[in-house]
Amino acid sequence: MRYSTDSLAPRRVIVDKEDVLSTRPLNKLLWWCYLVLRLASWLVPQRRRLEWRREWEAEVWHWRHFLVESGRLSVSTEQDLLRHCWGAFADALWHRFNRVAVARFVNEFLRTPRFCLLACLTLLAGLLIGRPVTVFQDVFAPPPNIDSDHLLTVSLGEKSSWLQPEVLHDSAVRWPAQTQLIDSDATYAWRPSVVRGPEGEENIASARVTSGLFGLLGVRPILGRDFQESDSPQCEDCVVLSNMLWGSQFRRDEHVIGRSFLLNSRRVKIIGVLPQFRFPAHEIGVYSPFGQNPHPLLPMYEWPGVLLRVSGGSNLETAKRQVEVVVNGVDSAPASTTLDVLSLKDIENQSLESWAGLIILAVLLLLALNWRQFARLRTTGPHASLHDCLHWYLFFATKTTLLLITALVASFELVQAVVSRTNGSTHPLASGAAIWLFLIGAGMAVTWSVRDQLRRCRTCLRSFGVQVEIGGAARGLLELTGVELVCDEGHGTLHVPLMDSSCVDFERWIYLDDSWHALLGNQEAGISVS
Amino acid sequence: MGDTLKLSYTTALVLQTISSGYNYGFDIMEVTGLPSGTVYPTLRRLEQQELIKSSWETQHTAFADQRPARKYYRLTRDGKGALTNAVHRYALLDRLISAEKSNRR
Repeated sequence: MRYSTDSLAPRRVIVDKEDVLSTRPLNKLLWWCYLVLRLASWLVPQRRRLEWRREWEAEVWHWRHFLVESGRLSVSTEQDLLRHCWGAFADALWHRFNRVAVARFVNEFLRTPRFCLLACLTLLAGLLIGRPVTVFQDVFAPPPNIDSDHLLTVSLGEKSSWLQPEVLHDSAVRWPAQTQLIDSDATYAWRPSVVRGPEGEENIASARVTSGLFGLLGVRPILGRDFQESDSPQCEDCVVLSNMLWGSQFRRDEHVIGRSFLLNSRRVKIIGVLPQFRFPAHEIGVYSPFGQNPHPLLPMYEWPGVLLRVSGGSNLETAKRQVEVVVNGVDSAPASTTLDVLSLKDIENQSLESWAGLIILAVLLLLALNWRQFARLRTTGPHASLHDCLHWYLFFATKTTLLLITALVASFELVQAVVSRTNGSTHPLASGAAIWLFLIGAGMAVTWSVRDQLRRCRTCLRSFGVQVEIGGAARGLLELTGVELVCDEGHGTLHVPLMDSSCVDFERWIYLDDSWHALLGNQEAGISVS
Repeated sequence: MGDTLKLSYTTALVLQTISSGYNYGFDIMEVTGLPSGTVYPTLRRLEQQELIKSSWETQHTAFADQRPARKYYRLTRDGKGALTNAVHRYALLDRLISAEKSNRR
C-alpha cells in the first residue's frame, strides 16, 4: 500500500490491485467518515477549514490503520470510528461559536457606533410597535372625518371684550345671508364645569352646542344619538358624553344611554356618546343643547365660538379674509368686540408651533445646563479631517435625535398609561405632565449622548477599550496626571487631566502614528477568533 | 496564567494525558476514554489559553512512513504550571494516567 503525496493526503489512499478486495469495506467506511467530516467542516470558519479537515482526516486515517494492524477491526470498532467522526460536529461548532471568540465579538460589537444606533432604534421601535402613540393622537392627529379644508372657526380675539354666546349666535345666523361663502354654521359656548357621576366628582369643560355642530365636524355618535333641532326646547337636560368622560365616569359601559348624573349640580340625562376626536376650541367632556342657559350669566366665564363651513369651490385663505370682514362688520358684533377667524389647519399649526417653541426651549435649557459638556465635545472633537468631522457630528445628531424622540414617546405613553389606569381615559392634565416628563427625559438623553460621544474615538467612533491612569495624584502640579483613553484600533488617545481646570494640562486628543500599529494593529495574532 | 487558572476535571485529564506523552487527539481519546466531541474542543480551548501548543509533523517524516502528517500537542510552561495546580487539586489524576500507561505496555 502506498500513501498519496498530496498535502490533503488522507482523503486519497492508493491501493495495489491485490489489496482491492480486502480493503473495499475499509474504503467504504473511510468514505462515510470523510463525508461526515466534510459536512462538519462547513461549520468551521473558512480560513481554518483546510487545516481543521487535515487534522481530522489524518486522525481517521491513523485510527483505521491502527485497527487493521492491531487486528481489532470489527463491526463494533467500525461503528466507534464513525461515532468518533460525528464528534467532529462538536469541534466544528466550537470553532464557529467558541465562547472566547463570541465574548470578544460581543464586547467589540457593544462598543461600535452601529450598536449604539441599533439600541436607540430598538428602544424606539419597542415603544412604537403595536401601541397607539398618545403624542400623535393628542397633538398631531387631525380629528376623524373632519373636512378641515372647508371649516373655519370664529372666536373672540385676544383684545376683544367678552360677548354673550346668545348674541354671537344671533349674529352667526345672519352671516350666511351676508356672504355667499358660508354654507352653514353652528355655535358653541364652553365653560369650566363640575361633573358628579358614579366615579365621583370631576372637573371638566362642558359646551352648549347647536344641533348642526357635530354634522359640520363630521363626527357621529358611537352610542345613542346627537342633538336635533327639537332638543333645544324639549330636551334641555339631554347631554352627549365625550369619549373621555364615558371612560372616566362610566367605564365604557355600553348601556349608558338613559342614565343620569349631575352637571354643575343639575341632573342631566345621557342621550349619546361621541368617538374620540379633538374639539377645535377646547377638550370638552359634556355637550348640552344650545338652548336657554340654565346657569346665571357670568361674564368672562363662558366662551362662545362659531364653526363655519365655507362653500366648496372657494379658496380657504381668501374665504377666511372675507369672512373676517363680514363677522367684524358693524351689523354683526358690538364695537368693542373683535372676532378672530381661524381655519382648523391654523389651530393645528398653533399647536405645532407651541410644541416647536417648547422643544426649542427645552433644547436651550439643555444647552445651558450642559454647556460645559458641549464645549468639551467641540474642543476634543475632530478638526483635522472633514470626513471625520462629518461622521462625528452626524453620529451625535442621529443618536441624540433618536433618544429625544424616544423620550418624547415614552413620556406620553407613560403618562397615558398611568392616567388610563386611574381614570380609564385621557385626561387634559396628562399632556402637561407628559411635557414635564419629556423635559426631564430629554435632559437625561442629551446628557448621556454627550458623555457617550466623549468616550468615543474621533476616527472610528468606537468606545475606548483601554483606560490608562498616568502620573500620581500627589504630584499633580509637577507632572501630567489623569487618564488616557486609548482607541483599540490605534487611531489615538484622549488625555483627560485629573483636574478639570489647569493651566499646564488640558483635555486633548492625540493621534497615534504608524509606529503604534505594531503594538495595536495585530491583536488577533495570539487569540483565535472565528 | 497557569497559577490562577482553575481547570475542570476533564480539562485537567486531557492536560495530564498530553503531559504523559500521548500527544495527538486519537491517543488522548484512547487513554482518557473521552469522546471526540469532548476531546477536540478541549484541545482547542487549551490551545487558546496557551496551556498547550500544537505543531504539525513534518511532511518529510510522514511521507517516509507512508502516512499523512499528524498534529501533535505539547504543554507550554503555563500548561505545566496549570497541570501542577490541577494535580494538587485532583489527587488521583496522576495515578490514573500512570495506571493507563502501564496497562498499555
